Amino acid sequence: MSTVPRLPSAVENRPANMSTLLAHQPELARAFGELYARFWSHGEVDHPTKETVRIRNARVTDCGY
Amino acid sequence: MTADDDTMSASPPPSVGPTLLDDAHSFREQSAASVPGRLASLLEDRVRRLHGDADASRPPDDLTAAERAVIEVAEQFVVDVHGLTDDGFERLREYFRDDEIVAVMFHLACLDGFGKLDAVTGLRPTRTPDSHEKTTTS
Repeated sequence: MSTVPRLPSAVENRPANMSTLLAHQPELARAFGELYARFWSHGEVDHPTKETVRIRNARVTDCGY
Repeated sequence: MTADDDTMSASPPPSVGPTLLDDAHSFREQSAASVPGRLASLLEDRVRRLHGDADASRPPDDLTAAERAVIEVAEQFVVDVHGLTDDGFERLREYFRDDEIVAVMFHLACLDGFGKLDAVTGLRPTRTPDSHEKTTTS
């Protein structure tokens, strides 16, 4: 698995990460941002539970976030 | 393309001895019990191809190089994302711009994620190496 970004950032002077990669597709990034923000700020499940799931998923999938 | 067409256009299976075939069967049985369905299914296909079975599935011959590149990455994305190689990714970049690759990857992420959601909620049929179509709730 690559340890360096395989695609360049779409934002000048910003490193490649999920946000700057998605910036290659601005409309998609905007729609996803709205969905993701709503997911984290609303809903029946409390924030600690969501965070627990997120961290566990990141560990199992070797995600750096 | 039909299965018959596929069979007629397929290259002859490699010549292998009985020991290797036995090993392949053993490997298939072990892997089917220990890996996720899609990977087991792919291994099943490989073993069938090794045997020259007529019903073994394989990609059509009329795919473009770009289609082959994106299929390779898409399949690896789903089966074992950590196994995606730099070479595979570079082949993708030969045919797609960066913004197109981002769109493809985002699409894949959604398909993979929602496919898993379907699977864990029992909403879609699933295929295992030792059975035909069945639902996860059956």
